[in-house]
Amino acid sequence: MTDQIVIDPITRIEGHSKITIQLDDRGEVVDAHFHVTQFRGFERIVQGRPIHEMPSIMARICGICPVSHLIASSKACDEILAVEPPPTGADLRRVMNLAQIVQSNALSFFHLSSPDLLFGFDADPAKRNILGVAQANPQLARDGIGVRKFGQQIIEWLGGKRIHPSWVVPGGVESPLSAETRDRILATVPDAIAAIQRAITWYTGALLDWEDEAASFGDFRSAFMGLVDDDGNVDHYDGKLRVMDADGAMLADRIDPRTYQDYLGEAVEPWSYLKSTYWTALGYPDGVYRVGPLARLIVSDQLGTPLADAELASFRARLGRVPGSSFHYHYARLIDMLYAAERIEQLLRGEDILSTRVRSQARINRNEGIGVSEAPRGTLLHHYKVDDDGIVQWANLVIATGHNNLAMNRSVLQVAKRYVKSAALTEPMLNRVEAVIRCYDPCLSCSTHAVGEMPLLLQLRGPDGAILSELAR
Amino acid sequence: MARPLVIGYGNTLRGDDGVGWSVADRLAADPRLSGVDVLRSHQLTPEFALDVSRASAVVFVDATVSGPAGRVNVAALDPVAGGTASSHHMAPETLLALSQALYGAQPPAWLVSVGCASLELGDGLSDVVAAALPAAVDAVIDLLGAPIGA
Repeated sequence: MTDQIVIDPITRIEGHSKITIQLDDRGEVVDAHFHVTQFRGFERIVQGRPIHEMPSIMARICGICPVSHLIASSKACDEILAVEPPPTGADLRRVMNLAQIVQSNALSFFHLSSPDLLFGFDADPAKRNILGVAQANPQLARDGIGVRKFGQQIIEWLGGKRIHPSWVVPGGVESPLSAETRDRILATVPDAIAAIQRAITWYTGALLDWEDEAASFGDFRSAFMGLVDDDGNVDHYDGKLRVMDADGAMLADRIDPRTYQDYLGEAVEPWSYLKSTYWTALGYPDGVYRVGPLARLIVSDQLGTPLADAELASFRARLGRVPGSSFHYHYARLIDMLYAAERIEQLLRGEDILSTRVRSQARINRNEGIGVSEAPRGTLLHHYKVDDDGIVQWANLVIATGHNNLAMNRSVLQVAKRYVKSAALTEPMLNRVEAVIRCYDPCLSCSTHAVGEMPLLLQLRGPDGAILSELAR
Repeated sequence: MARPLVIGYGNTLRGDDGVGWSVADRLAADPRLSGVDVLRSHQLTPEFALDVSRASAVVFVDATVSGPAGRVNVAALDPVAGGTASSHHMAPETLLALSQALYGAQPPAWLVSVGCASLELGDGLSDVVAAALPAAVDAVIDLLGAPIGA
């Protein structure tokens, strides 16, 4: 008979899901699936709403990365209005987007993943949490709190609140930046950079401890996708899509994001509410590609800030240009944060950053708009169609976690084959299966446009589909 | 100089779960607490440990499903050494423990909780919980001592 293992709920990620692991009649893992079990349906909810409401409605998709949806949604609205935000308005959007990158990456690395990295995947679950980190490595925990607060504060100071600010609007931003707020933010940058650098030093020192995990945590050949600017450097706010294969060759470069449907397909499987996005030239499911911090570092020629570029050089010296293991999302996430903190400072020191012209006004001038940006977890696309009165008729969202869905499923299978033995189901095995998902920092609230937390159910199923064992958290 | 801190938390879109916010809103506008910092949040997160560590005293305000609807409860809090902490589930005691472990500060702390009647989807309080707001506000003021900062 065959068996099936189910992890339900998965913990320390955003949303609801479960994992099933299928065993054959010899007890060997033959298949595994990462199921997203929640549904919300924002693409239908917004039909009939006025276009100006879209950014605020879409921000409600997520309490972790609402700014990402504000940005992509407002950019789609910009297109429908046929307006270009004033340069200062665009730069202020960039600052808020980067602050969001920092706070969300900090949550993922420090609060959710550092317990595994500090104590090991076999450690007692009772201490494998943020309080355990605080007791064992207070500096690491303090830095996590400090870095996340740095990002949250910027969002709050610019937008009036930490979560769901409505400051980013079609045409730009609602209000200009004051000199006082600029200086207040700038004063916090050095501490944030120092904290991120300490974390990079700690992480790279521990990197060798995780060679075994790195070799099986989603270590496979795939393409990577991210936004780059005209110089081929990372661009979290704008730019064109670049897709690089596992050998570092360009599958496509400088694709206009408006043409995404010519390149990306969205498949639906009956066992998950999360769509699986794929590179259509390679077909489904072979067209697997990854997005997010690791992809950004891989596809970009450089990052464009001095400290982050130095770390990028070290990253490539250690791991090569296209590291295949998703375990390295952790390392990439730290460098992504360092870049974001440096870039925030650069933008705030721009000579026009206090300009009071921050928003362009217009009426409905087009019936379709596509907005794209880099969210913490990867490339985010909002696509709307409206009637002549600006009432939304149709919407499609392509979310970072959807881009990564095929890669996450492949990663779960790889980890399960390496660590899960049906004869002795142990907590460390299950933790590793969960942890490989956590590398991608999936946001299921976003990717299914669903509400809730992220508990995990792990099920072990036999060849006849019968549930042999379950573990829930 | 350290100031007292009030943190009202809960989900304002789940009926009475938003009572912490309602109490915090009233406290922020109450002249008897002019020297007190008031924060509102959907949930407690590790970052609040920094705010807690800098406070002279802390009052958390939350909804509870224990006890009759509208009843205002006051409990002193102690840090807990163990327990779980995640991005979604953090008890006030865990925040106190984080404050102690990371910043060496353990201000006196209390939880003021209000019994819920309804946690259904919706952005208003039930009548019985709304009627309890003045008592909850007074409970916080009693703890922090009025007039503070006057």
